[in-house]
Amino acid sequence: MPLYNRLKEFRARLGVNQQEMGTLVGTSRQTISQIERGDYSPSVSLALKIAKVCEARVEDIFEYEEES
Amino acid sequence: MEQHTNEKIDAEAMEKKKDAKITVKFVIIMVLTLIGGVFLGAVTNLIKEQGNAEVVWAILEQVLAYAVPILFVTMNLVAMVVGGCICHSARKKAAKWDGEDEEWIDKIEKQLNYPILIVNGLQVLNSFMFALNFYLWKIIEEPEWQRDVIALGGLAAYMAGLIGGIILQKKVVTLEKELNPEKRGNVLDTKFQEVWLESCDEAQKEIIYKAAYKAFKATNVACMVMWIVSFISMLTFDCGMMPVICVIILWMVLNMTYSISCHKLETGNSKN
Repeated sequence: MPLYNRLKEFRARLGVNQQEMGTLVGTSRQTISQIERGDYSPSVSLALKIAKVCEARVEDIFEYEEES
Repeated sequence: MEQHTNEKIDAEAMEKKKDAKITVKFVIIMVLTLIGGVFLGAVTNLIKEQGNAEVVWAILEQVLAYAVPILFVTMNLVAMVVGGCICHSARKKAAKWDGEDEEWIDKIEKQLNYPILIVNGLQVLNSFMFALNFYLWKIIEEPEWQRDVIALGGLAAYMAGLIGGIILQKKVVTLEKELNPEKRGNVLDTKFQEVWLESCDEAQKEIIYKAAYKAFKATNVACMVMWIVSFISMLTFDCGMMPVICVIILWMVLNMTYSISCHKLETGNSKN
């Protein structure tokens, strides 16, 4: 999957665990865990919610890399 | 500009190569299926002509009459003990969770998939064993006690498997709900799957949909194989048209449900 993210880093800055992060963005702990592991690419709306909670831009947290 | 054109040509060539590979693979599968079908048909016909099939069946029935009730009960007992132990171990691990260690909780979640796998597999196996049990009950005329053991044992094992499966599933769902408070649903509710899906978020729904698509593809292949088997059985074992009809009904429901759902989703007429 060519989508990389720095969610774990931003979450650490906020000082919240996955469960609390999930509650803040209106999703489950499992989804936060899957995003951090790179197993799941979030929808646009979830990515925007995460960016808003982290007070950052979407592209600061999520990075798209072309597959070679 | 020239580089862009070259890339386009390369992409087209790769696509053609890919198509050619798929076509070759398809032809090989078709030829192998044909050879396999002819071979199976010839072998079964030979057994039938020589009259050995009846002897083999008679011996097999006698062996099964003793083995099936024991196997039925043992299978359920083993499944319940293994599933229960996994569930108990997951609960103990969950009690030790500090609420922070993410790898720890992910391990518990993965562990909880196994009892569900056991319950789902057992449900299908139990249905098969139940039918096999009563098939033997029907064909074995004596001794009377053996028929009673087969009937009562089969019924008891089936009921125990059913109740045990529900208890195991309930234990898993309860623990899952404790770990993920947003999850909803009661396994005793007839609308459990709908309620559970409703409480899942986008990532979990994607997992469910992907798994369902894989199941659809696997079932389609299984239907094709079972159609060949039932067709050969009809010609060689005089099984009649019933197995063929059953497979065709399943295949039709599967493909029609898929096609109609796709059409509704594409045209925006589906509620889901």
